[in-house]
Amino acid sequence: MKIARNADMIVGFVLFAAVVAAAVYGELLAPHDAYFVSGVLDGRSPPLEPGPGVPLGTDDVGHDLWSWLLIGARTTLGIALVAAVLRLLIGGALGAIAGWQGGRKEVILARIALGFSSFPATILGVLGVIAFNVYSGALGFALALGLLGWADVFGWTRRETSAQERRAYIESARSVGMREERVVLRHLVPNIAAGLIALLALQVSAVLLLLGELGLLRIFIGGPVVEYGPTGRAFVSASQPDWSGMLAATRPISAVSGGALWQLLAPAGALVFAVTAINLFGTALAQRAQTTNIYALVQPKAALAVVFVMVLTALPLLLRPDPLQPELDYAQAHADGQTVDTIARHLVEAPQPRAPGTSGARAAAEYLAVVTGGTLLPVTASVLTPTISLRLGTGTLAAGGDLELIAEDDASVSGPAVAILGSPFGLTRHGSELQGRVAFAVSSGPSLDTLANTLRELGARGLVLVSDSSVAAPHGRGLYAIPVVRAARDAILRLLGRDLPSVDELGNGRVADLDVDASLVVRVAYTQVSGTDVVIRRAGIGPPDRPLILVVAGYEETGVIHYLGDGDWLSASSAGLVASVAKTLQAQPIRADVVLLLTAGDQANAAGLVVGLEQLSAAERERAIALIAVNGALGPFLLQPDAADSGNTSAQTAGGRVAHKLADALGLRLRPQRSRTLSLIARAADVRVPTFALLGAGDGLTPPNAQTERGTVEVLLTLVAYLASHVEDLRR
Amino acid sequence: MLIVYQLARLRYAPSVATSGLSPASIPGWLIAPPGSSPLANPSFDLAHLYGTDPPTLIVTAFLWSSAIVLLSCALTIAGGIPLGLWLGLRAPRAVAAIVLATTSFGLTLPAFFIALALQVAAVWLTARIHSTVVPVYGYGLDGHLVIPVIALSLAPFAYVTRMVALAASAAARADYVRTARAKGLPERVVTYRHIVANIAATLTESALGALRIMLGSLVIVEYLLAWPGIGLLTLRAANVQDVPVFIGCAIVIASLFLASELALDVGTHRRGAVSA
Repeated sequence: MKIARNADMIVGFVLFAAVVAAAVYGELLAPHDAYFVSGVLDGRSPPLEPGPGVPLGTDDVGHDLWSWLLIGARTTLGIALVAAVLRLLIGGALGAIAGWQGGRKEVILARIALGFSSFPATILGVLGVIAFNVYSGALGFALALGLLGWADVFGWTRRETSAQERRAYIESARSVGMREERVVLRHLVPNIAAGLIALLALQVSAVLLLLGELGLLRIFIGGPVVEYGPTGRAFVSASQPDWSGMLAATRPISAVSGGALWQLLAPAGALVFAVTAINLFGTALAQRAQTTNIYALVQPKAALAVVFVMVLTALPLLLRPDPLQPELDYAQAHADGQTVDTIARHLVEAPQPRAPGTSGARAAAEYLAVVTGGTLLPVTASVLTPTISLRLGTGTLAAGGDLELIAEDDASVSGPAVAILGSPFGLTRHGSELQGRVAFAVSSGPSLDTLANTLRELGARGLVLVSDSSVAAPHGRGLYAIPVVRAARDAILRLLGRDLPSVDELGNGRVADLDVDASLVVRVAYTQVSGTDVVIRRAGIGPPDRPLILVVAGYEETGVIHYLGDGDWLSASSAGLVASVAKTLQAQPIRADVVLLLTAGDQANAAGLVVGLEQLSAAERERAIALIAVNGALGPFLLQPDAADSGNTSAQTAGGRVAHKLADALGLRLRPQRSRTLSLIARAADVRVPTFALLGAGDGLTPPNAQTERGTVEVLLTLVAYLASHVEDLRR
Repeated sequence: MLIVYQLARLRYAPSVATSGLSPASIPGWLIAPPGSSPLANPSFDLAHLYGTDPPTLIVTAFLWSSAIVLLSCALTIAGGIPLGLWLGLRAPRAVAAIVLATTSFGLTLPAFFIALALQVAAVWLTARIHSTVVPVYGYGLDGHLVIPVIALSLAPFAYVTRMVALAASAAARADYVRTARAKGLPERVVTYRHIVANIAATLTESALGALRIMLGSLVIVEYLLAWPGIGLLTLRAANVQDVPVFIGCAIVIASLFLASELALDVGTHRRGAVSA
């Protein structure tokens, strides 16, 4: 009977306890580390469907969703709780002032609250969070959602307070000469406590749902991060476990029509579960609070008991060492001035910029071999070499410096040159005629895919991206509907001999004749390239049971057109950086053996890597546990200046996120990024290891500085140390 | 509102939206292209994009929103009030308890979850019977209405039902009802003249409360289902920093909220006065 009467309380408590347990112990309960990537060794490509080892499946990167739910519970529920408490404090206090004293104060406060409540919470949330900065972490979210959402609480408290004030017990309390504060605290608060508890529960669930909505709108802690799958398909991923980020990483429309539905259901289900649990428990608690004096609960004994339970709860968390702590300490130990000095020295000594396959590359390889004690390997490879030329009027631009190939296909097109302004939707709407023309995109627009497709539909023959147009830059080259190149604006202006029209002048979606003919020739052919790559073994390879880690670094960044101007530092600094990292790695007492493979140039990377990997003995291949690639000039953008100052570009890159994590007090967690190309290369050389790439793809505007260089070394060292201490995980 | 908007603008220069109101590509609205510099993202003129002017754009979006909101309101009021009255006055106690428990669960179900669940169900059903049951997203005054309207009206429906049922059962136990019955008045008269008339304030309040819940979930429902209404337009305007359109949308939405607030005040006070 008693159980039946308290059924709501019992069910509510059990569900609520489950939610709280997830928030408190989630990290202990999670079967995997948050950044563990499933399917690395067996070659399955994420997303994995729910199955053994991954009860709820994985996201597109390969993170176990069940682990992410458990680990992310603390952040998500924490934001909800803090925001709800904030709402209760602000709304409750203002509401009590308005309802209790009435008069002019009430009118003013009510108007302010009305202003806040007369807008959908979703939009207010979007703007609030953005105003507080998506990158400001959980606290920013909690503050934004708390400070902007108190109007409902205000309304309730105001109504309740003014209703209670008219009741007899308040009048009698006053009539015996009780001071106002005492009346409020001793009489009003206990009488509205039940409602406040229910209200708190409601606000927590409201914030949770709002977080879910923001997630679907792709606004979540750390902001959206675009990554590319094996086929070049872009997808959004979250940088840290949190439920709204998990929702954001889904593609609802494709998920519901036969895609990865589990990705959507896991976080959405968790949100609904948490909301139901909190509401049930809150309502049950509120009903009981109606008949209890809450001050009776605040006895010294009871308070002591609560503190005791809390300490007991927190104990396993406090006693548990951070699994990454040794690695973080280790990396921290090397985050000293010495490392940076080494880098600076090598930067100065590094050879001058050069092109791939030239004698300069050989000079750089020799330099690296001498500085790091490595072995020089001759490499001959077939590489795809594009030749491109763009003729505009009487002048011609050729590849190198001013012209960059974007569409990777043979083509030869010509036609009258026209400038297109604004979006392709505008072009369609204005019925622009582009038949047989070569289009020059001079202003901002959407993704290159959309633009190229629209232009093809409108009959255009080719597309030239004038370099300061902000059409979404492709991530490397690709296949597009029409031939696409990117040309430096200055060079185009030089050939034209006049300025290009602008959107401000002519309006969006317009086409302007440039009154000259343009022709675009693209030839892509395999050519034999001889190069020299360097393999460096750590001195004294250890016992056969010691893990072996392979690190690949490019010492020459090519294939990037420096249309942005002073991009040459990229080539100039890469050999120096590589040398420094190699020296640093060699000098550290790493708990693993490391073989460094240094390969020159984008084009020769794959060939050089295969040749380098083939140098390993069979026993070494068995011992290898991971292959890490550091792209380009060792990821010069791995660590950027404070995200808030720089517009957060680095937070949008995989490498940037790794660095961000380490940057917070040498960071929180390492998030190795799986690299598909690399794993294909490793397989070609018969090395079966999980592969990780530290990608740096910054804005191309920021030259490396002491901070970025140190960051590069730290990230790499930490990753190596992390892998060395997670051998069992990796071999599992 | 506008202060927050300006703060957001200062803080965040998002990418140019990549799509028109074409449904499939909308969820990409916030993905900044990799490596793009925030400085390179200029503001964008939505009205120009559609070859029209901001007022027309806003009014069109408003009309699209009105279609689903009005339909949802009608469904909620026409269904929720009678159901609530029946539950509070006539339904067997066990049935009432079960339905009320369901409504309290229905209230916690977020609109986005309902929308997604309905989409999944529609896709599943379509696959089963090899013919499209209802469109999963997109817009049009036809089958396209089904999912947004249900998603919008489920929680308000539960809310209205619950409020009305609780108020009706409380009113049914009131002294004046007992007196009316003792006078031998027919049950119909007791119900309509005494009970319903006395909970009229609750009816108005619940209907307007339902409207507010609806408006609250309008944005996410429109976004998920690619319904080209005012909520989606506001989001897009904020995203591409189209200030005139954003302000227009803000004014329209805020007016709606204020009107419902005003109606709530007027409705409940007047009714309250009569019943007193």
